[in-house]
Amino acid sequence: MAQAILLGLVQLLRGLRTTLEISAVVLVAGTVLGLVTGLALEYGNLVVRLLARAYVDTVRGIPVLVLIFACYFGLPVFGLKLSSFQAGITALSVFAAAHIAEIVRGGISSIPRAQTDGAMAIGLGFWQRLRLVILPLAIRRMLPPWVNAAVEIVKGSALLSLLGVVELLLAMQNVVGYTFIVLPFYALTALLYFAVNFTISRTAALLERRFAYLRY
Amino acid sequence: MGPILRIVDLHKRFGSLEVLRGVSLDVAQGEVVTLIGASGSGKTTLLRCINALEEYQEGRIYLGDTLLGYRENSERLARLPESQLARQRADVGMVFQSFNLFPHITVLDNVALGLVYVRRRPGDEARRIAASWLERVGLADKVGAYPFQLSGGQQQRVAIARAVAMGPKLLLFDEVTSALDPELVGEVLSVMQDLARSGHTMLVVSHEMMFVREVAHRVIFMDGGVVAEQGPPDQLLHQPRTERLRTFLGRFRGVFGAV
Repeated sequence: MAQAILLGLVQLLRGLRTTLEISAVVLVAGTVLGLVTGLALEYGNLVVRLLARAYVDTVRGIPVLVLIFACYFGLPVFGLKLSSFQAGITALSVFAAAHIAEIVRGGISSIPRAQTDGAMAIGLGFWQRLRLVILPLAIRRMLPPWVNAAVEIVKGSALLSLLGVVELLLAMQNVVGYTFIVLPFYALTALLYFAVNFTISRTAALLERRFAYLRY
Repeated sequence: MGPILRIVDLHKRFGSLEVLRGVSLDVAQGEVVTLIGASGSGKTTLLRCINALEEYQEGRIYLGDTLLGYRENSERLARLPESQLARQRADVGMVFQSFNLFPHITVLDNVALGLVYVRRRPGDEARRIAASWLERVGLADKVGAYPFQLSGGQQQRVAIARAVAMGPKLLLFDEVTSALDPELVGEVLSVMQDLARSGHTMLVVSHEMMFVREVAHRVIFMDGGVVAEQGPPDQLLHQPRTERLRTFLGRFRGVFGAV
């Protein structure tokens, strides 16, 4: 029995590692894609803006689970066969990017026009203004909603269990299946999810305090 | 020598509202020109057009021999791409009413930023130039401070240092003392006076009549989007030719006594 519990714990930790891997990949991909889409929403010409807007609004209006199934069962129709892990990550990234795009757009548009004027007046070009002035200011405002998105993604990774990806949730179900120890493993799993998300939000809070000196 | 700034029949519309309705004026090298006029007369818009912050519909703005903001294609104007606009803006310094300093970097970096990224000076040289301009505006002890730690007058002096450090051919000042507490106005005006004396070409929107009278070489009165009257300060302030300028100046007389 003790051996079964030990094995269960090991499996749970493996599941946790998969959950962390999924979350990390999705956060990076979602943030990069979200940044690009957010910039398109804010600065693109009419066509680019409309395309970005259509993407963001469509994806935000669809349940994540539907996106996940669409990537896993739908993409093969178009000749793109993804593993359950790849399909899940793709779906979550597409979902995350749409949300982060709105965060990016909101953060940038909250920076006063005067900052752009000041940066233009000394002759900085578009990308220089963005890199040296607008984004450093906007990122401080994007941080709190970005943390929300990150926490949602960690929790959303549990949906990949429905495709058979053995992440934390499915690992727990497997362990419960052969140890028949239900509540302690449920509680431990909940605790692990909480620990991950609490770490994210505390780190963000520290960063926020680090930037708190900034006033206009 | 020709004028450093030449504006010919400039028209600027926001939708159906025509803010500039044919402005023509010249500014000579080293000249200090002040623009006065009621709010809504187009002064700020004019400055923003000169610095290519706004597009305009008709007319031409030349800095030296360079047409600003546009390329001329057989009588038609085509807006320059962003990279070329940026290069032109670097040659025109602008100081804003609301300072517009970058809040996330130090005072020194505010002044050095353009030198590094636009003028391509090495970092230490840029900071040396920046520090010497900050000293010139009386803020040598504030180089490491952040903008929010400074008073309005100090922030505006940093903004002036930021503009002039770029070595622009022309400096634009847009009501730079209007957002300041009265006791802070003097320190900013004396910096501007210092720049005027040392030969900088300046186009100044200001209602500080002391500055207009004592520093400006020429005063331009704008009204309804056109240049309504211009001349030396003494003549313009004391013998206005148009009724509208008389009315405009009358409002100041009420406040300051004799202008």
